[in-house]
Amino acid sequence: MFIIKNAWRNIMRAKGRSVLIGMIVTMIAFSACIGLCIRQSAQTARTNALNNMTITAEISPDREKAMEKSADGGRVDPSKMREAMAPELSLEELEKYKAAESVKDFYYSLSASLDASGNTKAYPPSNSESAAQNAAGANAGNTEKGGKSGRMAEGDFAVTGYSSDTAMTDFTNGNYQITSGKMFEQGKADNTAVISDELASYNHVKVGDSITLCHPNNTAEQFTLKISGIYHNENASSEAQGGGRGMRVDPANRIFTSYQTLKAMTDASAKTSGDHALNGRLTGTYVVGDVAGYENFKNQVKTLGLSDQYTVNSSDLMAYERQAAPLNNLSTIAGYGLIVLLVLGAVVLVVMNIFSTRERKYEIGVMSAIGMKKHKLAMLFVSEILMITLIGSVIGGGIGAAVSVPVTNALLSAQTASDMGGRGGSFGRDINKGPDQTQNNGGDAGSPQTAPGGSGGSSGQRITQVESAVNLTVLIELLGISLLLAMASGMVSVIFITRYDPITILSERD
Amino acid sequence: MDVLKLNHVSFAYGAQPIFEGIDYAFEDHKIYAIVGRSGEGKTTLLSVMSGLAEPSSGDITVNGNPIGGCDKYEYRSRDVGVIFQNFNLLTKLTAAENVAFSIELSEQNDRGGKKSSQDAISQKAYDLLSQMGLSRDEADRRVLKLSGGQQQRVAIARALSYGAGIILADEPTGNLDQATQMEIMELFRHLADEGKCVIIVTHSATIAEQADVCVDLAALKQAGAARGQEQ
Repeated sequence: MFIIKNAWRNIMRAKGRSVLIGMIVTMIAFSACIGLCIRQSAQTARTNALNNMTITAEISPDREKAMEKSADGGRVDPSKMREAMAPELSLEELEKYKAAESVKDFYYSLSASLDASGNTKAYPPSNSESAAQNAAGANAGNTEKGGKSGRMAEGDFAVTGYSSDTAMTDFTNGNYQITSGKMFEQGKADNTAVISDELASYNHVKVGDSITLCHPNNTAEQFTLKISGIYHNENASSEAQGGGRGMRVDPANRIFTSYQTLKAMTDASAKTSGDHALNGRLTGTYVVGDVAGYENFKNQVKTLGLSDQYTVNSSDLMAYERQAAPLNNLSTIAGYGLIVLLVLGAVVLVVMNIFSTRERKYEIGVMSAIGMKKHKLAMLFVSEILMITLIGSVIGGGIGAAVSVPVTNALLSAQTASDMGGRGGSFGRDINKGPDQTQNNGGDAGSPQTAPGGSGGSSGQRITQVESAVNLTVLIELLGISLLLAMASGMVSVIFITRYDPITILSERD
Repeated sequence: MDVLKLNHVSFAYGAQPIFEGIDYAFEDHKIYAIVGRSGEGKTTLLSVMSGLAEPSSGDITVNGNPIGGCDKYEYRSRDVGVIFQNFNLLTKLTAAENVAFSIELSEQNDRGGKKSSQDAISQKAYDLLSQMGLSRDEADRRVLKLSGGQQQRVAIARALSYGAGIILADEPTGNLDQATQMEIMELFRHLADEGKCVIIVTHSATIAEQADVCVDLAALKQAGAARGQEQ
């Protein structure tokens, strides 16, 4: 108590010095609080998102490994690449891995790309030229039409056939909603499908009408699908802007049907076109629950005999990583900033305390000469800096806590805008709508190629808002930082006091 | 009665001996004046007696107990009251705070002792300063705003604050005018009459004349050196 009382008196007696050190500590605490809040927000967002997410996994040929094998002097030979790529797994093979312990559910989907035929036209009306150019460019540069190569031909429409309602995550999570008619019947090859309201409106068709599609390389090979329902896509425009996950068609041109219907179409094509048949891409989705389940699943499929030519990945996790990218980037920057701040802060405080202790050399000498023990003197000086640091930390931390959410959100918006900068829309629509809309940008969810089992359209949304940032962890970390700074600068006093000899100090003064 | 005894006390700065083998006994109820030329080692002897400097050999006893075996900080805040030549007051504190801090410190160092309340400590400080002739207003002033004589009185009050039996004063009147010197000496006389042992280091003949015993440091050193040679 004697130490605390005198430390407080000394603080009050030397107001100028105390206020100066206090202001520096306040600034450090404020900045540290913001940095810690950003890091905590990122951590909380990640934990909450992953806890609320039902994680699914997919097995696909390991493209990177194939690229490594086909690389020749740093350049990838496309023909070697095709040879090196493992074939897509069949439904029987995919079903083998649903026996893995982590798997809670399994469903699959088949996707194929088809062209419009007859009276049916692809959406959108105003950008058809650019879309066609995109498609043409993609076809010319990347896709060998026909099925001989084993690669899917690119058409105007992305048709997806689902094995069960559970597989239709875009609908189950509410991003897509049936606005007219009803969903096609699962498990039946009845040639019924649901189409988007934009496509229906553009083609002047309604429930009960039919649309005609054809093989992209063989217009004579036609397929008629009866419209059982019309859906509305909440994120259609943003998906079109982002165009992520390799989506080459407008979201409005996505057609959904049963697996059996699409399988019947590809089987029929195989009979008609042989090697150039319509090539469907089969995707198996394993519901594994959480991150731990996903990690276990990766090991379990190896035990069940999955070749190392295949890889396990999770579109949900990848989608989340994309969502969280701005916040994670900000968190990383905040982490480095925090380290720099603490080092600089500690240096400034140590230097200030060196000068302060030297300035108080005489005071140390007198107190020591009249009987104050060195350890008590050291405690007195450390208590002073500790009190100032704690007061500064409470003020700085309090202000930091009060403004942490708006500051974090402002920085996050800037980071998101920076992250999204320069990305153009795949369909030529205006994306310059300001930061408020950027949170819906991304559009990488639910593409026909990757949507099955994906987390749906909302998975592309960036995190641009945090609701709260300060919690007990942040407060404890801030307290730890304050104590660390106080100890670092207080140690200087301790060293000086230990080395000072009162008689030398007083005789020098004399 | 001997309260402070020097037994063959020697001191050296490195290889340079300042004094060797000094023997002397100081009694209570007396004022001692240690005299000698500048550089003779008067202040050093006082530092050794106050525990601020360690003798290179020999020992010092207070009331029969060697101070070498006790905590020097506790010794300085219990057994001896030191009045420094330049007062060595805590300049950011008021006169009363200087005295109160010394009382509080002494009580802190006395681990098993009774701890007074802050009010009691403050009152004691004001009383002491009042005895030294400082008004309440002067006691509440920062020491740098007091005159040299007043600062000297604060230093004396501080030395007396915890009831030390031995008062060690280094040139206590060196910076003071004649009238103030006399007042200070009267104070010391009063303390000696109360039973304290007052040891003053001075080069002033006037001050030395007023002491009960005048100790010539040169003679002490000579005697010590002679004893050393005999041995």
